Amino acid sequence: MDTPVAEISDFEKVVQVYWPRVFRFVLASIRDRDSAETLTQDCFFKAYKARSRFRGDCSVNTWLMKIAVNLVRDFARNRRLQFWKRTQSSAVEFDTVFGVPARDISPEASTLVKEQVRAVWQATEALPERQRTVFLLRFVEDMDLLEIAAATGLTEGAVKVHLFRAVHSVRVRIRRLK
Amino acid sequence: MNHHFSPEQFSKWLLGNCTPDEMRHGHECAECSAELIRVKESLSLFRSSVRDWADRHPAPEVARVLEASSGFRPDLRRLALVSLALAIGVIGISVPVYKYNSGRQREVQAAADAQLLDEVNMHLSRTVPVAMEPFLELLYEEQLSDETIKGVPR
Repeated sequence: MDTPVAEISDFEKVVQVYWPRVFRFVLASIRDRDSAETLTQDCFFKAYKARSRFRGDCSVNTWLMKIAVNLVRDFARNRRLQFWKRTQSSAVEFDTVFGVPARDISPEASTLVKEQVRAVWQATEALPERQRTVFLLRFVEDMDLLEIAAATGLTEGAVKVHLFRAVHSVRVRIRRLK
Repeated sequence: MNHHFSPEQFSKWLLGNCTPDEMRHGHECAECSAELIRVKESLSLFRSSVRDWADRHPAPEVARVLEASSGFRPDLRRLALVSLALAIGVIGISVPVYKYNSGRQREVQAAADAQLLDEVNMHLSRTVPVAMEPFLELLYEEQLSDETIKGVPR
């Protein structure tokens, strides 16, 4: 397995491997398809420009996620300042994003599955930005607490606190489905 | 443990950070176990859905990524630095040019003034008007002739 520094030298492969991960994290964070594509592009552009300074202190995934987290935070900050703007047409609605459930389950089960996913989607949408970030990095990107701390600049303890609160909020939303 | 999970214990269990007692309770308590299974299943489904959706949007070519990102969003900080450098350069060039031009103008003016003064002096230094100068020469010649006759040493 290549070291992180060796891995980053083949940038074309880095884009192929990590683009989906960064894109889905950004999309799930900001819920706007066009902006997510732009931010993902920016993330890899910044990574390309900074690749000579990458020392391999963390994995390539963590490094890219760190750039993406910062871009998402800046985007959210700018968007709050533009509150008078209407919702963009490229805003992602749950029903247009998530695919058709597997065919080997009953329609009732399919509906239940969709409702469960919708509950989590809506719960994450309502989370504060930092809680949503750590939640997505943990439960979608499967990053451990140390990796999340490195990507977000938080301490491990702060990551835990944000995760606990995020999970509790999601649980409350899921419980309403009972 | 003889009570159900607190919210914090629940989160710790989901994150794999629980104590052995908490782990055991999560398996043995029917209510907590059911809640844990439901939340884990929902999180797993959410994860799969997001990943499946993102996988349907493949990565573009690297060249397109870099070209698209480099073309339209100038580095504002660099732009500000370049603008500042240009402004300093313009000021740095224009001040000496202004000073040079001002000095040259003064020199030209001074030369013109000097020439005028010379002309005025020359005019004032004449003992007789220009028109009377031929008569002065005639008188000077007559005086020379008289002194020669009388033997006056020069």
